[in-house]
Amino acid sequence: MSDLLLMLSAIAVPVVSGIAVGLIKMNAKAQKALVLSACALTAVITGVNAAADTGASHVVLSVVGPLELTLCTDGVSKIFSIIAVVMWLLAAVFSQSYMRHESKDTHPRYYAFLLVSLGMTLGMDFAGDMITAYLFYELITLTTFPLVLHSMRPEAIRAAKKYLFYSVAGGFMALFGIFFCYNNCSTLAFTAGGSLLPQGGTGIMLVAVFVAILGFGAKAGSYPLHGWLPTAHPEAPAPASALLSGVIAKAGVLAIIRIVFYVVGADLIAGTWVQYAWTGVALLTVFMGSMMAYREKLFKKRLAYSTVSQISYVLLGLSLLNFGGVTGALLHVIFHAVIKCGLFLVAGAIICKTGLTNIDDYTGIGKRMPVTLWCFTICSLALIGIPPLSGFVSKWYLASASLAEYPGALGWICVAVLLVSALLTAGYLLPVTVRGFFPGNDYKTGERCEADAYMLVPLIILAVAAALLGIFIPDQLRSLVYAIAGAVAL
Amino acid sequence: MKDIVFDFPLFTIILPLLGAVICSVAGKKVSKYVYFAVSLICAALSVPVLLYTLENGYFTRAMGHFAAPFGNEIRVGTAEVLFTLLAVLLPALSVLGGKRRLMEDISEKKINFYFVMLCLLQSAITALAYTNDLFTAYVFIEISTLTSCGLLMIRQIGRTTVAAVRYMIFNLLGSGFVLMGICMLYDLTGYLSMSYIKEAVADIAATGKYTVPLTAAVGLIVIGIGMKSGMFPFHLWMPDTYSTSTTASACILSGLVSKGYIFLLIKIIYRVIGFDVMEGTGVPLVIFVFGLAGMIVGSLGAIRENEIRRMIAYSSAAQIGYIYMGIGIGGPAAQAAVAAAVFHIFTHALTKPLLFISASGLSQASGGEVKFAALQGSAHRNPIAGAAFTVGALSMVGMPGFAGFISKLLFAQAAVASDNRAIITLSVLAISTILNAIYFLRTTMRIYLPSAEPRQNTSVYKNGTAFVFACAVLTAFNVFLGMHSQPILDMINAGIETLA
Amino acid sequence: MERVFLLLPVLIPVLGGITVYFIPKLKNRLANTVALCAVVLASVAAWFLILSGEREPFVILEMINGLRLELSLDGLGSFFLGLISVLWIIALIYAFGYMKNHEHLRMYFSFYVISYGVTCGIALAGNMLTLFFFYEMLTLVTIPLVIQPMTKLAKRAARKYMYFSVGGSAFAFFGLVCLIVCASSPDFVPGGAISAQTYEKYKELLDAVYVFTFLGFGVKGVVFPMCMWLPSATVAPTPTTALLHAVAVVKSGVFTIIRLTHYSYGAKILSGTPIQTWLILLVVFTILYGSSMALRETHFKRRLAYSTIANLSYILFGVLLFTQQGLVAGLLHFLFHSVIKIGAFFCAGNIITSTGREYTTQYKGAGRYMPVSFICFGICGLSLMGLPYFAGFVSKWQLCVAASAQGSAAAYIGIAVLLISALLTAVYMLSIVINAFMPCREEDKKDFEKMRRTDVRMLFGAVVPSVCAALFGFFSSYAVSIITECVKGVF
Repeated sequence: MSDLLLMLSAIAVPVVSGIAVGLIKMNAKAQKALVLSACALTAVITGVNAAADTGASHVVLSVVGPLELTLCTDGVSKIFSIIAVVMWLLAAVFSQSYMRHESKDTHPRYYAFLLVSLGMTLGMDFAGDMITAYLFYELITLTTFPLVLHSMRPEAIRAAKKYLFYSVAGGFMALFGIFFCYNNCSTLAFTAGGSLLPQGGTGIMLVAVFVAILGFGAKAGSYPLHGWLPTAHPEAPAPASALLSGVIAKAGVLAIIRIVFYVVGADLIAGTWVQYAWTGVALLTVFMGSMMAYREKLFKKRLAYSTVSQISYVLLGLSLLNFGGVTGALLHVIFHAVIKCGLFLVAGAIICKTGLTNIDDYTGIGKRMPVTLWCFTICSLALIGIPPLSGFVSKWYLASASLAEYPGALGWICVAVLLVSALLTAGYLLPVTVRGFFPGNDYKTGERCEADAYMLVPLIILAVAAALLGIFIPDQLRSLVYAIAGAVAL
Repeated sequence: MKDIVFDFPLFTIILPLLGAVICSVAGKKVSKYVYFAVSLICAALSVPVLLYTLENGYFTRAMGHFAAPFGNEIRVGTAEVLFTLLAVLLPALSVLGGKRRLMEDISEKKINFYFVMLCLLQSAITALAYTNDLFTAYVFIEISTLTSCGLLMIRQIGRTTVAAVRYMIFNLLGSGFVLMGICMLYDLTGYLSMSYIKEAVADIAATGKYTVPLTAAVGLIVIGIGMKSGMFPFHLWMPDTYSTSTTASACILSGLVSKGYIFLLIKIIYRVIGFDVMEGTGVPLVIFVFGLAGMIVGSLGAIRENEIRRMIAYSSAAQIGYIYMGIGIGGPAAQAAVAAAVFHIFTHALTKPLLFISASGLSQASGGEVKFAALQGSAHRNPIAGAAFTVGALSMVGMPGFAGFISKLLFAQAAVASDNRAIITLSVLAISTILNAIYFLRTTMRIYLPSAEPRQNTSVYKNGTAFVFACAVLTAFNVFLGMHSQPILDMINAGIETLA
Repeated sequence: MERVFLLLPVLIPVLGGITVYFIPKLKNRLANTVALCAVVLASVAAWFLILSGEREPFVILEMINGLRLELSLDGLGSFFLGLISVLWIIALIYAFGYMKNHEHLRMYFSFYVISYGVTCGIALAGNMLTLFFFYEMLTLVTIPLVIQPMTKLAKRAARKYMYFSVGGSAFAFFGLVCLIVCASSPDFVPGGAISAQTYEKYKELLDAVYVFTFLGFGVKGVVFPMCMWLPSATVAPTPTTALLHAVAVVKSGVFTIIRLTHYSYGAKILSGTPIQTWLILLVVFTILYGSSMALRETHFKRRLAYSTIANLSYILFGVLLFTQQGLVAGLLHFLFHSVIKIGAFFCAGNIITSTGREYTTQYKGAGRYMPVSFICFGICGLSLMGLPYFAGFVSKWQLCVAASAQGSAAAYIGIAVLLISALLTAVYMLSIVINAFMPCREEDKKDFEKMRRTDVRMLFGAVVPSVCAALFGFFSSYAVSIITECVKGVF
């Protein structure tokens, strides 16, 4: 019972405070206090909930028949919810400084939707059955798209509408799949390994699952519904972009995890065309995302393409369906969240302080904002996969798992794609560092404009985490990941 | 006491003749009262006859000293008496409704002449209903033709005269055909008395020798009566005639005279030829097809019209088409269909005068105009006429609650029961309903919508009491038939069974 | 209980409406009060009838050949009656606020009230003849409501409505006659009134007649292609379109089709025939047609009209599955859609009246000045599109469940189309709200600032159904059990 209370309050606190920030007029100090304390409180509640050791699911509301609102905290919930609250807290801190360069009357709207979407994300993390997950999935879309819309420029409006349309379309595709799951599984509540009925393994069920994967993949930026992501993520204010890329995109991943491993069960799609197609789609997105990032000149857009690519690493791992794949995927979820947040916050810092958005203008930026760029460098190295930084660990798992799962050519193709992508990642991240610190002789030094404490502290925390998490994974986390993978993987 | 009832039908034929004589020498007012008195008395006389026939079936009465088949006789059954009641009451109501127009259209000196014509017409139609002799029927056909021409021509405008001449030509042609048919029948059978002819015709048909002449005779009679009553394609005289005559005449002609001829046709089919022999000649099929065509073509013509009275006249053509369709449908449901046709005779006879009368009221409230543009919003200037027109229109369209709906229902039921003609009949019924709705409801909307330009005087037109009375009675009959038609239908069914 | 009480919900509004017509021109308050009293009294009588259980039918009059005009109240009828009796009150209050400054008020309100009586007659009809009678009456008494603005467009729209309706009735008349001839009982029998032997004997005729009658009644039930009158009819004032689209006319069409299909013909006869497949495909096509046209349409009320066309075919889809689940799901959507659509139309009415603009492209930024109406419209949109646990989601889910249980190919096509239509619904409903909360154009700012405040009655009309649109989903198990109770005996 107490965990139900914890979950409900974890959802309620941000939502209520978000509504309060949005509707009640308050001065800057009060606003700052409310936002930060709400995030902190939510973090504490979630932490306590994660530390507790239950997995029971609670029916909050029974609507009709199988349609119920259920919440539960299992291993996957714990991971995703902790990521969410930590990232949100750091972003909220960063926002205090970042938002100073935006006009004051947009603040309430921004913070309101920031907080409410935290509540919705936690709702999705704590969802106990597929319909509740779908409900919060849609609510996340509805509450985050005002963040994309924030600047109200025509491009932002277009990007937000595109986001909405792709997400909703993906949601309905997923609903198609969920519906067939309802027919062919004994329950829509999450059970490790799924609850597929014996007669449920039909062809149309495979199609339905595949459609659901593609549909949920919309939020995760997976091909073919990825088109909104590179336009939408850059339009939001940088802290919001960080969250969109780092955490909210993972909502799509979470949904896919839930439907494949906890409703249908990996057995259904193992070895079938669905698994091959899924892997293929993931590989395609990995490659394509990196390629587009390499060619893109706008910094935030480059990072957005990078997100497209990196999340498909996770999906690749999941598509392998084996222990290593799932482990690698989950670890990459954590690591990518940390890294991408860090990268976007760096972008935010640079844009905030210098107003420069194009990569070509970043020559010599290291002279002006050294600490920021150091954080950037560490995160980049982690993302590329340089041992012993965190990114390396997850990619290693992915590579070895793909070889294990696909003994033939496909396995080697996976590894090759991973390698190429890593090279491309280096290609699109490192030049910023290099040119930033080594501008060449023609450069005229600008004045120092290092980011302030509100910005630097989250950056440093993230950079350190990106570096060290790989080697110093807390035991509890490791055992949790292994437990999950063991329970659901083949 | 019972025996005197036997003589009542004869009285109802002779009394109007007497009335005509009196009217010819009386003045305007006296002739009017004489006419109404005659109508009332005839109606009163017919009621006991009706009750008698309901109990005891039909009876015959010899006219003159010779018995049938060489003498003349009348035969009185339920259907005939019902029709006579209609024939007696309807002209009276029409005159009441169109009285104001009557007084305006006809010159003072000629009004008594009008009532002379009316009395003669009434006598003729009654005789047509009762007679059991073909030649007598022909004589009275001629009398009704001439008197109806008189009713038309009495309005002395150029257009009326032209229309009346055209009417006369069609009718005389029709009468000519009927006469030829009667002569051929006499040649074939040697009889002029209806029931006797029937036996003879049955014998002839059994031998199979004179099929062509028989068919020709039947065909001539049908065409002749069709021309006179407005069967497709002989309906083209109707719009001119009904739109240019005075209102009362239009009502009487469209409501009663055509129906008289049709009733005679039904009698001939059942009592003279016999329906089985008819089917053998193939003529019912022709009647059926012409009926269907009339239903559609009449409505199409109405849609294109721009004047209200011509529109109503075309609608008559369509309604006559319904009746002919019912007569010709044949097959296992023949009797039900004919019952439906007779019921529709009554419905139409009560509704068409209502429409003509209310249309004249509306047009009088709009300065005498008949075009639709002028009639816009006229229902607000003459609410009673507007309401009456609405009732008539709704009945024509077949709105449940009015008589027209029951007619449609009866036709449709009969159609469903007839196997091979069901689909086409139902389809044409549906299409014709839609077409009816188009022009009637469009007109109803028009008369209620306020006109765009403001008119000079927006005062409400004052109707005469006679007008209001006529509208009210006709509406009441319509609604009564729509809501409580079972007794009438029973009477009609009983009548048809004894018609043969 | 007394049978004659069945006449009350029909008679009170008709008499009340006629009374309203004759109240002198200046006494608006009195007229409004009389109208409201008539409607409330009739609703009270209706609920009294619903709650007091079974009673004998009441014969209004005997027509011919044993045909009777008869009122009776069974499960399906109580369902419809209960729905309209509540919604009419809300609609009337809204209408008072909306029509404040318009003309021809006497005519409008009198026919508004009279049509309530006629619709109750449809719900209470005990056999097809009575139903047909009130159905035709409904066409007549709603024409003045459409024509009220008296503009050229209004007259044309009213004529179009009239022609379509009468045309449909002409074909539906076939069904009436065939049922009179072929049915074992003239009254409505749950499960069908035509015996299997009769069906065998007249198979081709009955099949053809069913299709014609379905299409005939489908004029009011807005099945493609007989739905074309509905978008033009939106020139009528909003209280009319809300009533026409949510409660009276179109739902009467669907109600009549349900009577025809399940209470006259019956699933036993029609289930599994090619007719079922073809009609399901037609209905599914209508869903696609309505949703796509709604997307392309920029006139606000016409967009909602096309949305109604699509949603009514959801109901018919459920009905044509010929299973109990399908019928219950269809009726659930019947209920929920009425509430959602009436809310959406009232919000639209508020927006159009206050801003004076009719096209969805003109509302950029208006949300700041009319937050309540736009947010309520957004709630209705979310519910209609199918956000989980809002009312629209539950009914669509139930329809999909019923369709997949029925299992035919046409049913699966229907499921796919339902989802596509949900996506289109999301776009065409939510884009209006999103645009409203964008920054407004400079040239519009002054106009929006000068807008009058919305009349509180109109706000009431907008808020109440919208809130229900959101919350009813949570009570759907209750609703499902009531509906199942209402249609027991049909299968």
